[in-house]
Amino acid sequence: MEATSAMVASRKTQETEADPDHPVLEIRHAKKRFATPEGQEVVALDDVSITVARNEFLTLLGPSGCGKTTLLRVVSGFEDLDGGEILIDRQDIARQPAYRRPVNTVFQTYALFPHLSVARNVAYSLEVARVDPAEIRRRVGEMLELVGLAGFGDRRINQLSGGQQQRVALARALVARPKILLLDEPLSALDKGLRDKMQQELKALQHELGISFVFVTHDQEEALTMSDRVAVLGHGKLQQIGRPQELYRAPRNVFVARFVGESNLFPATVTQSDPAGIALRLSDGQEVRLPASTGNVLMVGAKVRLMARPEDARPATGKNNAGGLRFQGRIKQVFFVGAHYKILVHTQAHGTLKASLPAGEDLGSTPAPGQAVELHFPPATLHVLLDEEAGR
Amino acid sequence: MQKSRKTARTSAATSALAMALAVVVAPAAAEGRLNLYNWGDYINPEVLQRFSEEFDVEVTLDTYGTNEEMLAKIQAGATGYDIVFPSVWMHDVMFNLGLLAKTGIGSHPDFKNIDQTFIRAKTDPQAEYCLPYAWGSVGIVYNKKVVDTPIKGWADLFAVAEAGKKVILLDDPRETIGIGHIMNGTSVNSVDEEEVVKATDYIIERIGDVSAFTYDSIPLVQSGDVAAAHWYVGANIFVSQMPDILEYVIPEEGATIYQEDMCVLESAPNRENAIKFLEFYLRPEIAALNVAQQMNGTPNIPALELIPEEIANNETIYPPQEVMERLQIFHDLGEDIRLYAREWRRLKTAAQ
Amino acid sequence: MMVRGTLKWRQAIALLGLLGGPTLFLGVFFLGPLVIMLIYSWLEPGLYGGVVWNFYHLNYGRIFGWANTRYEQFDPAYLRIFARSIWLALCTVGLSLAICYPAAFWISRQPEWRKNLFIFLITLPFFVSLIVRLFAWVLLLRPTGFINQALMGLGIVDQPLEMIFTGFAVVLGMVYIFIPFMFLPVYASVEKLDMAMVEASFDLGAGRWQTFRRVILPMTLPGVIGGSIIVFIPSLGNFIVPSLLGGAKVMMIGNLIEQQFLSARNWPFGAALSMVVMATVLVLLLVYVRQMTREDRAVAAAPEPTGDMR
Repeated sequence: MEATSAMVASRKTQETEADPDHPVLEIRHAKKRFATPEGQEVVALDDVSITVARNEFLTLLGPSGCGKTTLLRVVSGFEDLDGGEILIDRQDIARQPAYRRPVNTVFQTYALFPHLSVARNVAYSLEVARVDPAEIRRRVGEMLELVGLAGFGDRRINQLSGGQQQRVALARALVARPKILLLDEPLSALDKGLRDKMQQELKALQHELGISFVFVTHDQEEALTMSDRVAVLGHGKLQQIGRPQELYRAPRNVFVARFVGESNLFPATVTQSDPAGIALRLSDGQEVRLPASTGNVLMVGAKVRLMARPEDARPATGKNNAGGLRFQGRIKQVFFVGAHYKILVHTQAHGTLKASLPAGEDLGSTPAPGQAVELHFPPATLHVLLDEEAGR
Repeated sequence: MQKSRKTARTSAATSALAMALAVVVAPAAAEGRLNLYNWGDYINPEVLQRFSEEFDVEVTLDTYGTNEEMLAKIQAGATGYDIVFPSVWMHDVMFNLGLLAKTGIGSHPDFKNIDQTFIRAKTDPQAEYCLPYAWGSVGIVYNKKVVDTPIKGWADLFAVAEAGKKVILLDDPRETIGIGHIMNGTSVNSVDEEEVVKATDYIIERIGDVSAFTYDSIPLVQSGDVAAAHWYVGANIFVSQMPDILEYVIPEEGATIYQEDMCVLESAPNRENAIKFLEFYLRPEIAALNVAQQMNGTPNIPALELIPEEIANNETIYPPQEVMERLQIFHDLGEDIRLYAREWRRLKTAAQ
Repeated sequence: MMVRGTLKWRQAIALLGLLGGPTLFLGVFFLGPLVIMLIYSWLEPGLYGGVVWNFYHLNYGRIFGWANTRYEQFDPAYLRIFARSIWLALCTVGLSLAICYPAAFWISRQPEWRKNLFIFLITLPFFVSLIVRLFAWVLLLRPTGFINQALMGLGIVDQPLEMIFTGFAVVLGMVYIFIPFMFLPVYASVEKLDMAMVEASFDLGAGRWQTFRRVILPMTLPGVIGGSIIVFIPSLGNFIVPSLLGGAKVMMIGNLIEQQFLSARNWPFGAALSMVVMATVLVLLLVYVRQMTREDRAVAAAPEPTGDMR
């Protein structure tokens, strides 16, 4: 039985001995352009390089039109690259047709075959590979059990709910044990409760199977929850790739800061730069000193942006006066979201700021629209952003 | 079984379409009505116009493609028609079925205009019912540029075919098996099984050289795609248009003749007008008017003086007596028609 | 119980109202003539068409082998003509499918306005009389016709090809007539085919041929079979094309039936032949319907388990 499954695997790729420490997928300088029907040219992928480690859950995150789906389709083989390489286990597969690549896809619409039963949908890749029927039965049974659909094998696709169809799509894509599973916004058609449940289940499944998942979504919360690493794509470029915490705490540019989590962004000018740190002045005249960052050397006079996350805001008191930024304003709107309040504060100098205050914190009283408030962001929570976004 | 008598442009398939065409000729505020049911293109519309004006009658014209089609429709209870134009044998059939009305046309003073030899229906020897209307031969039309020597008869036709030039026969069991009878010297009305089989065999022996059985052969003869075709005397219309290319002959071995009679139906709603129309058609100038356009034969003797000379002098339209004697007309065969149907099917399957 | 009962009644009445009209229509204009034909086929032929009301089995005897009288003789030729008609009809179905299937794929990938244009063009011939269109083919196919002139002009052949008045011309003519009937159902199912299905198949390791056989063909099969039936039935009974383009030398069952009703004046035999044609078509249809519904029934009684992923 092991021999047959090895045969299936070898159909998909000329097996190079897998090196556990080498990335399973390497995308190097991927370039892809499309012509629109109006005759214009759209750059979908602009020199994108990403690697995916073995057993990694990598999410491609970005707004629609950012190139994330194109990237997925380039890997699965539905689109050809205009330039660059795609390596799976060190082998360039960019010229291989889709059906020879050792990757499988869970489609956004599932794309289940309506004329085949659940079991035959799942068995499809094995039947195509002419695996022994007894072996097919065994593996399909296993797979259906794994996704919680044991006994559903004889159903027709149109007799299943959305969530069940999702599971069939997963089982179908996983049964041939691909090296990489590609998931194209697979949860977007599900309602919120089911989506949360599926997120956990997917993560558990990935952990259990030990297959690399490349997951495409435009939902940053989903990306942060599930992924080992997240690659943020914008305008065809890789804006940043890293662990969810890195992306959140240290976005590389304004695009990432805006797309991952909520943020307040303040234009600022560098007034002093030395090995110990930098000083910045905001448009309202406040100055703030920050410790030196390792990455960038900033020239005096450079225009940058200062990012402050809403949840780092604290009501200003005498005690937490040391450094950081302070803003006075009036509360415009208050949203109670259980553990904290989200408030919008109108300031003279910077327009509307977002802040998130723990519900237990003593504000003197419950925040209410019209109230005067002073917010404080400690220096450690501030982050300097250099560019608008990559390549601009 | 002939189709549209004048130009035979239609085939079995088109007869249904032809039926949908109805012509109405009417003066303003006509008193009476007259409904004709005729073959397609088988009467000069001017004749209807004249009658309509003179008698203040609204005339309508419906058309059919075969005798059987007309009979089936009348039998099925189609009422409203006053006059039909059956072939002679169908005239007998309809008489036997009691579908025809007595008109006494044979005792009208002008009936003396009619050549007595054209009172052919066995059931109506005194012409008490119907008026002989028109007649013509069924012969051969050929392309003079394609054949080396003029075709004179059926033997020549099949010789041309054997030489590799294409010929077309009519898609009509009795006409086409009739050629076999003529060549075998048996009657075209034979119901002797052996004779019918032999007549059919005559065609089957030559069927490899026959490129088609169809009524729609004139354009192919004109273009030279086909050297010759079995066709009606109406081919003279095309001959007169293209005298350098086309020629129509009555085969020297003999041929068939068709004749239609003008009959009033027992169910005719306008019997008086119908009889008036029969009497109207006895007038030589009216018969001549029809012939001038139809280019076929009329039994009306004085009319011959009035028709255009090139028609009157055309021996394929008005053949001399010795040729007339070689022409045979079809009779009703009753049940024996099935013998011909059976042989016709045998002939057709031999073609495949 | 009462509420349920009245509801059911109401539904029944509503259904009756909806289906009553069409049922009546079909009963009068479809079933009626059919019953007349069935009865006629067991009666004696009348002398001048029509029937004599005597039970008479020789109409079928002529086709299937027990008749042997002066007029009613068994002749295997009838079955041969029948077999030949089926063959020509199948050729017509095959050829029109071979043209329409790829065409449907190509057209379904065009921009919207062009799709509509092509569909309009395909139905355009309907605006012209069938007879006129078939005559146009006579003129095209004859030895001095356009096709032969073009072939000779290009030096492809040195003498005209025998095309007119052959079985080839008959099939060509029928393909020409029935292409819209094949195209529309095929196009309807091709257009519905989700390209994601094709991609999914590639993704799961199926090459072009496997994808075609396992996904594209099965998913467009309803259109293919629908189109094939709609083309097969009228091709089988066609008599216009064989008489115009086949020069009546190519005899199909339709010509034989037409001849019985007209020149042979033998309505019952024509009716018997029609019944045999209809029975054949019905059997073929039943086989098809069973084939199509079998899979559904096999699936109907599956259990209803629920569960989470492990």
